[in-house]
Amino acid sequence: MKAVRYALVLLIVGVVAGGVLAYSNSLTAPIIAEQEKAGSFAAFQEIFTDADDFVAIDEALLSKIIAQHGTIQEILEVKSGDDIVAYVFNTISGGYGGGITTISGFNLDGTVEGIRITENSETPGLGTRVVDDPAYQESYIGKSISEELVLSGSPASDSEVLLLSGATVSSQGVLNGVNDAREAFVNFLAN
Amino acid sequence: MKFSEIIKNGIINENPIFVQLVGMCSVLAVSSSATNSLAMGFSVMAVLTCSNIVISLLRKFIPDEIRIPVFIVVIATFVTIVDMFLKAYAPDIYGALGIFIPLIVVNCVILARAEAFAYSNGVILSAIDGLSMGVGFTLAITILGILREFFGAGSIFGIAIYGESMIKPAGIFVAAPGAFILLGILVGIFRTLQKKVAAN
Repeated sequence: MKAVRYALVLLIVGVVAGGVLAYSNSLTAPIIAEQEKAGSFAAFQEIFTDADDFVAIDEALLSKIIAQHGTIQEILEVKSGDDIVAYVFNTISGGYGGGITTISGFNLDGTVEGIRITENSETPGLGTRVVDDPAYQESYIGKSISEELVLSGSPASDSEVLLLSGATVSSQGVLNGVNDAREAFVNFLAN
Repeated sequence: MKFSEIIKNGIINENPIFVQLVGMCSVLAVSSSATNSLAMGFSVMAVLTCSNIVISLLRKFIPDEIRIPVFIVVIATFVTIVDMFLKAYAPDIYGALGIFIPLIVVNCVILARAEAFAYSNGVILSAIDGLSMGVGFTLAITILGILREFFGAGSIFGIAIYGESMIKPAGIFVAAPGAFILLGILVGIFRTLQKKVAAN
């Protein structure tokens, strides 16, 4: 008899808790979805200030690309009027403290328009310099993506981007995402 | 038990961080900046107060043998609510605290207060206990956060205090070892002061 009572109490507690959670989820879920969308769109627009629209690429193509390039989350066409002028990639690659979400924008002519790091859990003051030190993200601008990008303490050539001393793993983590996107761009989208 | 006694217990005599040393995982991890610390403190305070109130309300209804699973369900519910609302209304803070919000569920200060206080005391006393323990937690983690950010990044609440020009901030304080060192020093100071006060 006791067991039945225990089960009943747990059942009631569980049902009430579930109801309360469902209600607060219904309150917050739309706001969260809107924010996530606005968050990545803001980053897209920071890179491509003149773009008219960002449209997700064909689903079948996307899943084919993701099968080979695991860091890629989404790919969007950057449109000026009706023409595709560039592609923007959203990647999550491993950093020092967890995943780093990076938005990379590549022009059809094979140059980097810019990158933005939208989410990270790197060490504050060290790894987070990939976000806080503007020189890091700026070092990607205009680089050629025909070859794999590499880190360098003082980037000079067309395929070198800045290595922040003291934040090697974070610098490399971001670069891994960008390089993965670069490879996908070259193999699937460049023509 | 008097209200003032419960409040003093929560903030000083049995301060969750400096005296009980519970919930260290999140304390060490998120105290790298003052803002994160404060946000974590308020989240814990909200969950602790709410769970204390609900558990105290339910204490006659919950059979002794299954009280722990019920506590966990109640605590997890409030943590998930805090998680959702932070994500919806304070995404920056949510991004900074990340995984440590869901981990409030296993912060032992909350389960400890449910078991040691709320389960055997009335609603009002339990609410005050939860609130004072929460304030004690928030004060301690914020002090740690302010010191780590000051020494490690040269700022407090994101406002730069001294730049690279005078003296370079020591990055170790925002990294894990600095958290242990500063927390150890703070606990030492707190205990010494407490003993002095008790002796007088």
